[in-house]
Amino acid sequence: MDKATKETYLSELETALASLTEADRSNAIAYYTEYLDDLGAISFDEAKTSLGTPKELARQVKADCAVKGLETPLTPPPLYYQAVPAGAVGAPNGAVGGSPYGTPTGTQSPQYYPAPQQEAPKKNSTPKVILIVILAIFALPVGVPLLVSAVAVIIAMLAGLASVLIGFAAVVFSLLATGVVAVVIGLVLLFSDFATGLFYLGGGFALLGVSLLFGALFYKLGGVCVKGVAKFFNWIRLKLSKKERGAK
Amino acid sequence: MGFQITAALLDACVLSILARGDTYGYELTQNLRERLQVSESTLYPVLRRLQAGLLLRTYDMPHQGRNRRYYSITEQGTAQLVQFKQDWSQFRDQLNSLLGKEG
Repeated sequence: MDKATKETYLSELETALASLTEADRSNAIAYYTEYLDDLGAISFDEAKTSLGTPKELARQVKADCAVKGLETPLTPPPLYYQAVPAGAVGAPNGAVGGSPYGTPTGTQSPQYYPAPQQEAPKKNSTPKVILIVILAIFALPVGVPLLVSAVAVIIAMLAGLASVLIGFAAVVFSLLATGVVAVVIGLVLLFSDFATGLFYLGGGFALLGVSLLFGALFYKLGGVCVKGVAKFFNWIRLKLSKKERGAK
Repeated sequence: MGFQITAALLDACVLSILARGDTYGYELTQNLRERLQVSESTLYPVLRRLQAGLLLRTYDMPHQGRNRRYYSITEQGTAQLVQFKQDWSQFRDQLNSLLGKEG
């Protein structure tokens, strides 16, 4: 008989529950082992008909462990031990491989167990936090220069943009100033040397016109640049805040 | 049925079954499924939740060469069940008056 058995089902379930803590996993496995025994299921397919595929079942178990099951109870656990008959805890006969379904005691006396969830959240989260800290430390030699250079690049880009704009402004201003001076000289010369005065006057007006054109262009360009820079910083801010939220 | 059974209702149902006597996972599931349309994998999370909340406790008893885990309602569980019943009858009355059925 090469058909998959319920043991296959349970081992697949165990694999699918790998991300849980040992206590949570063995508890779920113990529960469903017993359930399938009581159901009288023998084959993989019988188990699947009742409980769904191992992966589906695992998802249900995991969803619960992650969301609701793991709050630490308010009352301390010793409550549970009060019901244990003296001596029953230490009964050594036939412990089943460390599973929480533990020792079949000879007596019929009930044996109470503490809720197995208590230490689970710590177990799960502490190594993760440590891992993240270690990763952060390892990333430091690469990350800090990277961050510094990124900031430097941004500053350089801004400086470049600003210098281009300032240069442009200077050109416009000098054109304007030259134009005004040329017009004034032209006006003065008009009375002593009419031809030269007219030349200066014409040249001055031409320069003023060009400077006005450039000025309008500069105004437009400047507006676009400021808007672009503002957008860029807004984008960075959004990215950073998103990351922060993601990290939480 | 067009209505979902919420987690709180499931908790109440399980506590109510346990209030009639200790039982084990399979039997509890069958009991529940006689009256409610829930899947066979519904109960495990409920039991875990109730146990985490100290509303029930478990003990193992040998059965045909293996262990069977029994679930037993605690005092806190009994108190919670009373609360659940109060809440339920209030909820039921509200819905009945809304749906136009005599209380």
